Amino acid sequence: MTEVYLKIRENECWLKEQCAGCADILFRPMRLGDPSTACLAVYLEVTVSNMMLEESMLGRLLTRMKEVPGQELIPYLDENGMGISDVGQLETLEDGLRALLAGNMILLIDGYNKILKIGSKGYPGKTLGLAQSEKVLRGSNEGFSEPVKVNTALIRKRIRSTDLKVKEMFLGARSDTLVNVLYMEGIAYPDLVELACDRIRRYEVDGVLDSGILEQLAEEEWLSPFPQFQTTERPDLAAMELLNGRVVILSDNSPVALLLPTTLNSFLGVSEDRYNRFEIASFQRMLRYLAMCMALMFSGIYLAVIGFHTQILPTNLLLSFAEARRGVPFPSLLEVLLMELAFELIREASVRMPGPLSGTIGIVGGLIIGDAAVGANLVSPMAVVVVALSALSSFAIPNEELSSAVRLLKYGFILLGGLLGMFGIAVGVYLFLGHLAGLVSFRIPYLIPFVGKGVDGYQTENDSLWRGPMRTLRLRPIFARRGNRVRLRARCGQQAGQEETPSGSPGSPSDGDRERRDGNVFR
Amino acid sequence: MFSDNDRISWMQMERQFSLAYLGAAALFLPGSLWGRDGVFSVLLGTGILFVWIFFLLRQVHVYKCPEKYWGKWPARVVALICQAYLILTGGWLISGITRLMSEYLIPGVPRWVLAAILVVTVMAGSKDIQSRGRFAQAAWPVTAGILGLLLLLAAFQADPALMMEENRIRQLEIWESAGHIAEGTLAYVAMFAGVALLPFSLAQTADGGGHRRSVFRTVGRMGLWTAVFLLLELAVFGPLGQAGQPFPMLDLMAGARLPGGFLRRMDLIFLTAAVLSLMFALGSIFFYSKYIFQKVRLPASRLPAALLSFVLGTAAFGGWEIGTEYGPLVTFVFLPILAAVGVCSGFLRRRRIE
Repeated sequence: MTEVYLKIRENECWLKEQCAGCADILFRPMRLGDPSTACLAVYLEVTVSNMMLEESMLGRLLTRMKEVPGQELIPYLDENGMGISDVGQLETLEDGLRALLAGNMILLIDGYNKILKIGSKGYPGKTLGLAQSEKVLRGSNEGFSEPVKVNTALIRKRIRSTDLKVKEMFLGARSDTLVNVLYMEGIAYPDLVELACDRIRRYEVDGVLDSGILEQLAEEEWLSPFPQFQTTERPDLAAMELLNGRVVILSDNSPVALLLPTTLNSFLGVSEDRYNRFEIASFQRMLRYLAMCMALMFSGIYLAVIGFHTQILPTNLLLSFAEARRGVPFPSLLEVLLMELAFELIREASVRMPGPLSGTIGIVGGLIIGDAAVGANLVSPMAVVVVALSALSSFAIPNEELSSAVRLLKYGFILLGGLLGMFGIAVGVYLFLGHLAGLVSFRIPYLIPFVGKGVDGYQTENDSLWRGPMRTLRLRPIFARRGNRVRLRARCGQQAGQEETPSGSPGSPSDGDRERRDGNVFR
Repeated sequence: MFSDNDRISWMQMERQFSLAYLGAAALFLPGSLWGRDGVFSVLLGTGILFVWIFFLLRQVHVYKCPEKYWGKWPARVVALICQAYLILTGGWLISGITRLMSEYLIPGVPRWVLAAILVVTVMAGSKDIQSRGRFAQAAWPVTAGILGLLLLLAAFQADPALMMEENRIRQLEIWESAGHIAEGTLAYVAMFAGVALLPFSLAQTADGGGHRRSVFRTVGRMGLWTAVFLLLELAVFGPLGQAGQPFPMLDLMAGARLPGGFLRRMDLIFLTAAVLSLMFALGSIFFYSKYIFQKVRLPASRLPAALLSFVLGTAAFGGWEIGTEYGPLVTFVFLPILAAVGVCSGFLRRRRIE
């Protein structure tokens, strides 16, 4: 590391050498004080506006500094400079350069061996938008933006507690991307936070341009198609999960937060589940589980039944199946595979097309091509129905990563069902379940809470397929520290369901004592 | 944290055991278990298993460190005996499953091909004790739920008069009936001879006292399931019909109807769920074949057991076929040996304590 030189000329040379060829980095020499002292402001062209330099508090400070006696300039800066919002002193030139590249202005003063980092509006980025991929009917629709600081603030807006801790780290040898690791002190396991930090620092990568790069590098089972981090665009979901003891990772320039550890159940839940009544929320969640199973196996089971086990169908249904397939030249397996691939093509095309055109693609692909294919006897109407139902089910899975994994594995079930009938489906289920049973995300089994009962330290969350009434959701999930699992408690003198109502706020040390007394000691 | 300690919970152990036996209890019950005597045999056999388990549970320490109690070479001999039993059972399961598949699910495919698919699938499935435990815990409610629901649907075919028919067609003396019950009991206990290896799995079950109760509960539950299977078969087919069919549960399920008649045959769904359970049982066999060798520090892998089971399950050696020979072999060879090993362990444990 290079200490800041006392002579501004040397500092300027060092910086100019580092920034050679960077036309967007501007050096603005100035003289401040009376008699004047040489100063140098360095900033990125777009990140610091002229307005800011002239009219802001900073601009006024600089104007005032022109009138300060030269010998008092440095004491004046020491006394007043820090009073301006987001001004910091940096000791080394490397830190100064990093601050500059992060979108700040840096100010160097002759005879002063520190750099002043002056926060500015930063890089241009998209303004706050809606969470497009996780829409809900009830609850906030605010979505994450791209600057990590903004995203951190969006979470802080929802959890106004100093227990919310933010660890900053810079990743990417060349991108030097700021990554924030957020967790609730006292609720998240410290080991988990450490493990998360270790994992994302494990590889040295050229550039971290999105949180997806971190996700893939930090995964344990990197060959698995199943996501081992949950992603979200919703600050309210991230805040909720922080309160559940999970860790949130935010990467600069990415509107997607990573949540860890994760389980299959967390992929099939949406933030709305907490806002709706428990009957509705439970029904919707069961529907999503059913949708996942249908997206995975429906096409395969259809092929198994019509190819091997037609005796399972009532005669009328069997006849209508046979009637529908009359004249179709392809075997059923090929027919379904072709239809599934066609659906994937339509989906991919509609995602890549500009917004207004994507609807057209859906109409052209779904209606016109589908209708024409049936009319031309290329596929049977029954295959279209099966593939459409399977596709619809995949859309009902709230998480896109999980949905993609399910859509990919569906082809395995299609082949197994088409070639081996129900035996193939049993083989597929065995492999699928075996794979999920072996997956862990940051040491938490992927199938929790379905495999939690009886495990030391597990307490029924009442929040899996069935989401219990809000008053019964007393405990945080398994991610939270064992001594701090209580999240809901009635105030003194009031009743919360059938529970006793000890005094103290939720999460106070007495919870831990009580849980330990009950024999739920984690280690 | 949870996945670090290489142990399973008592609930996972219980469900592993239940899931592994459910399919076999539904489809591969010994031929001597039929009629009312068969039900009595199951109940009596369950009682005997309770006693056996009571003694086995006291010997978990011996199975945790077998070399310490038995000595290096005797421990290896015991491990080899267990291995032989496991491989034989694996071959029998492969033979049974492939027979079912080729007769009921995918006729026309050679049995060795089906066996190969089966072995590869099972080998690719859960490999460690924790993932097996989680698999069983997640799959048990679904499998048992499907089978239970189908049993309920099948129960509508029952005719209680058929259960009484036995009195009319069989005028047995008491001693004849007792002989039949004894034969059935022995066959039932032999079918559960795998409980002799239970202490191996308990060695990796989390402490807490729950596992002892859960072992008894599991054996009791399996006895109950088996008794219900037999009673339903008896009530639907009568004693002669029950005794004369190779897979009476499948015929029972073939007659079950969904309200509204949406699906015509239930046996395929039943068979699929049962096959999942049988595959898990096969996976358990391969897993424990490796695990037991690890315990006595012999080169351990699941592959040899898988290959030998495949060979046993698909080949016929000069008229010797595992499907027919497995029952007598286990009943008259392995059951006494495994019981003797248990008794010896008990003595060794006591001597060590003294």
